[in-house]
Amino acid sequence: MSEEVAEVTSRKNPVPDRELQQKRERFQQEAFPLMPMLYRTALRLTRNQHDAEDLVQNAVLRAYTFFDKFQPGTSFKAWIFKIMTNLFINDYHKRARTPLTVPLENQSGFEPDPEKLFFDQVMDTDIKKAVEELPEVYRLTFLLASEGFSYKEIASITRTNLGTVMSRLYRARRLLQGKLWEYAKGVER
Amino acid sequence: MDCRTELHELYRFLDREMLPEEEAEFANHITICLECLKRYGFELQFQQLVVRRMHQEEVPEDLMAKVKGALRSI
Repeated sequence: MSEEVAEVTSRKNPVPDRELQQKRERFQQEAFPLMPMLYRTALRLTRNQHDAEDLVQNAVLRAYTFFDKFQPGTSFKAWIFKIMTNLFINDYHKRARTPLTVPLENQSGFEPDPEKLFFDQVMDTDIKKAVEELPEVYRLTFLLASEGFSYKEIASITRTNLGTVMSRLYRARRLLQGKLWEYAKGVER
Repeated sequence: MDCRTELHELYRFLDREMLPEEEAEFANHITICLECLKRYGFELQFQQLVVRRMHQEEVPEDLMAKVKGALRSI
C-alpha cells in the first residue's frame, strides 16, 4: 500500500477519482452488509421510519468521512454501531418525547413458567411495541445484544462498564418479559 | 426452587460470555438441575423469538439509493 504517497499527492492535487472510488468501494464492502442491522436497530431506537432512515444515513456518511480513522483488524461492525449510537444519543434523544432517564419501574419480573402458553400468546402480541416501550438505555443495550455484540463491545459502544451492561441487559429482559406477559394476559381475556 | 444459580449467570451462559471452563461447568449443571434447565429453555426460546421478530425488518430501497448517492457526492 502506498498510502503515504497517496497522502502527499492528495495535498498537492485533488485526490484522484480512482483512489476515491477504491476507498468508496472498500467502505461499501464493509458497510453495506451491515445495513439491515443498522436499520432495524435505528428503527427500534427512534421508533419511526423517517428518523431511522435519517439516523442510518447520517451514521453511514459519518463513518465514511472518518473511514481513514478506522483501525483495520478491529471490528468494523462495532465501530459503525458506536458512531450510530453516539449520533442517536447526541441528536435524536434530545427531541424525543421521553427524556433519557432510568425510571423507577416496578419490580414485577415475570416468573418463568415454560409449561404455560406464554409463547403461543406472545406470538400474537406486538413484540416490537414492547421493545420500543423499554426505557432508552435498556432498549439500546438489548438491541445491541440482539445483534450479537459481546458484553465488552456493548460496554465500549455505550461507554460504560461490563457490570452496567449486564444489569441493563438483565433489566431489559425482565421488563420485556413482564410487558409481554401483560399483553399475553390481555389476549387471554 | 432451591437452586441458587443467579439469572445473571444464566444470561452469561445464554450470551456465550462465559470462559470455556465456566461454560462447561454450567452446561453440566443444567443437565442435573431441572430448575435451571427449564429457565434456560424459557430464556433461550424468548431470546430467539424476539430476535426473529426484530430481524424481520427490511431496509427500504430508497434508503439504500439515498446512501449510495450521498457517498458518491462526498
